[in-house]
Amino acid sequence: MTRSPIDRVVAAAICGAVSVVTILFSTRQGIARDEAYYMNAGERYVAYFDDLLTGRLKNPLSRESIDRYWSYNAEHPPLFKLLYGASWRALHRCTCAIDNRWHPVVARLAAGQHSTIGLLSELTAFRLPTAVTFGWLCALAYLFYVDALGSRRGAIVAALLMFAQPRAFFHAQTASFDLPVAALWFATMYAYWRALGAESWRGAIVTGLLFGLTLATKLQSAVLPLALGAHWGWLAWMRHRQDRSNPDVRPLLSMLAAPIVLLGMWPWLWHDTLSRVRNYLAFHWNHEQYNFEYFGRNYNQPPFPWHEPLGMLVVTAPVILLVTAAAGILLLMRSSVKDDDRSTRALLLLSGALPIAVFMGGRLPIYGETKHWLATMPFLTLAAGYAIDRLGASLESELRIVGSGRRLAMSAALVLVAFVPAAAETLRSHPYGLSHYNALAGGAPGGADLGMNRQFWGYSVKGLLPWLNQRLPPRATLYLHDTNEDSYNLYMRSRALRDDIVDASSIGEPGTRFVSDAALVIHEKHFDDVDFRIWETYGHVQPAQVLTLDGVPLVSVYLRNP
Amino acid sequence: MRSLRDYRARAGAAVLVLLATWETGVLISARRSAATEADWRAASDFVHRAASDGALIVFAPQWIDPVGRLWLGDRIAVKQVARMDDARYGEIWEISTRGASYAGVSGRTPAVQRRFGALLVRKFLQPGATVTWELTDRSRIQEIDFAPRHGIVVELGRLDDERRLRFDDVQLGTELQVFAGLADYRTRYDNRATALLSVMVDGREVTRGYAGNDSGWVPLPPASTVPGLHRVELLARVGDSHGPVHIDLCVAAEARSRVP
Repeated sequence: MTRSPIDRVVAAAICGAVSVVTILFSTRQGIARDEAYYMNAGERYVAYFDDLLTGRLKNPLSRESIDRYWSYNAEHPPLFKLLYGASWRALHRCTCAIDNRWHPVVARLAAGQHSTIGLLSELTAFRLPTAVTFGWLCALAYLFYVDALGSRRGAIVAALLMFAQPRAFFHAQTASFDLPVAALWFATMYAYWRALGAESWRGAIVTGLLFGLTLATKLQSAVLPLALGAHWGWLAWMRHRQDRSNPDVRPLLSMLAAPIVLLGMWPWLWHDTLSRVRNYLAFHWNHEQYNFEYFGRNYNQPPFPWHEPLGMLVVTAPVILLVTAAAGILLLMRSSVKDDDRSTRALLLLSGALPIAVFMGGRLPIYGETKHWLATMPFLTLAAGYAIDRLGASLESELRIVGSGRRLAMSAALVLVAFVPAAAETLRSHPYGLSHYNALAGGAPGGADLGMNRQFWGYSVKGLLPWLNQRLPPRATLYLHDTNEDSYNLYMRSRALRDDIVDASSIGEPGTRFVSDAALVIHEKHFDDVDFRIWETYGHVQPAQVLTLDGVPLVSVYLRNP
Repeated sequence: MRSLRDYRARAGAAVLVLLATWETGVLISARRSAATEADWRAASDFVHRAASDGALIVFAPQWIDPVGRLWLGDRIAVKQVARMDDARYGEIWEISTRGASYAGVSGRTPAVQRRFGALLVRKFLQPGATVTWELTDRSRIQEIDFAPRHGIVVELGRLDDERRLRFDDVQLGTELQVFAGLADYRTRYDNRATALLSVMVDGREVTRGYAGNDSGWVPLPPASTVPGLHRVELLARVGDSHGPVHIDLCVAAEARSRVP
């Protein structure tokens, strides 16, 4: 089957539906530590262009001007921070002058309002680009499947199973880079595959451009050429054996120019370039180790168990996806499956395995668990789609199903059977996706029994904000634990937290931080000692409220005077 | 005649449907099997009415502890949560769910057992020891193996470091029990050494034990003692080292008289 115009319509519908559902759900999800930094950065970066266009910035290319706006969060490339800032700048309902004190200094509005469309809240406007990127990724999974494996039934399963994944869905609701870089990884692979078939400069340039955008999103994308290069080498060898010419090298060559895209998009690198690039790389090379609980043990330095990424995959992805993907991989590996001129199966294997494989060496930090190899997931969904499609074809033959209506009904039933449990997992996980474990683990309580990481990024406190607003005395000081100052500022701006509640951490670290009327403890194994310090300071062990997911504690609140 | 191969697709579809049903069912069951607010309220009311003052209240599995303290924290002192061990408690109340059991009562027969929805409340009785002395000076809660323990921290930073704690006129009973463990996971990650703790009564070693990064909260063999006033010394040294020495050795001790 070749792609027809209707497939573009289906892909657009998938993109639109996934984006809308994701952004609607995101309003219930708390602010993750890192996305608060990126929102802050986005606001600063877009203020640079705002001030440039309005003439407030006299020497925009000077080092002083650039450093003023771009020095914040220079450890990550700018693309999505810029998109978050731009989306916020264009779409938010503006109360920025009133909320002046909670904005970054360079982006503060003294009076009046930003001129915006005013369609979304500030948080939703910041998060919109990731949600749309998630929709785009699901649509790309559909289109690639149709192009490469030639079936709409399998393509729809691939797209739906990409959407219905608790962890991917969580990250798709945040203004952070992990879902976007997974989407761009897949898009670059897809462009490379198309370029190999097109044998033209146009496809090659698109590949290079997409890889540039991937580099401008997150550092780990730098290893993608390893997968594509290995595939090209494999393809060349295969063709050599068949006395055929080498595959088109232009897609790979164009990727060499990708750093120009990164450099062009990142004003921070326009001065003192070599030193700043070195610092950027050094930050990640020497990245601090974070804590991570895996089967009851807290890890925060190498060596990590080689199987940690696989273990996390097995207990977090929907079981239906794992089983059908495993079946699909086996079916794709069968020698009876004819490979195409571009060795698509080898490309899928290399591009899909590499993101997770780099974390199996036991040396790289495992601080972010599944989020660092989200790029593996669309490849698993393609395999799952293949398994379901083959099952459908076999059923048609075995049951002698004839007629397009009957075939359509059978296909719809198969798609539903594959989608419903995955959707149930995803729905159940929301809005605490990082605490959710799949049916194999026994849900969130099963994950707790197994001693798996409870959560990270401090986002779950949002579930307690209504309680805090209601119960804390006027002008109460609150110890926010792992919730960072940028998140606190954003909760204030979004009116999720009462504006007279003072962040006790701002009083001073470390001894005075428990000089507070109330304290939060975000439950993670390595945070247990925060509980102990609070007991000693407050003189009791009784929380006033505990937020839970299926009975599993996520956040406790203590009152100094219960 | 048809072979099994002719039913392969139908079997595959059946497996898929079963898998989907099972996965959805497990998620629903996980939600429904969690203890509700009503379960906790009923269990809490029962324990509040039935437990003696000072009874030990524990939760299983350990991860429900914050929710347990939400409902019963008014009956649990800081010192109890960070206790050295359970020996002094004659009455232990266990509130558990998911079939879990607190290790300290595992295998014992409960004196009382009641179920409140997803929660099981059990009361256990044991001969509680009379504590004649405990190490409380300068002690505070430390994290040992990610659990709270009240104790004194002795720091050892070099291979030849030695720290001695001396306590005069200690009212000993018939038994001296000492526990030790390496405090603070950050320090444990940097440390590659093991601590050796010797316990002396009137200058004579009565027990000793080792504590390493992974050994958790280690009970030293209990020492039989002669009741009366004695001098107790705790001597901490580096017992073994394979690299940097960063030891925060947390020590707790109780002198007891056992009821015969």
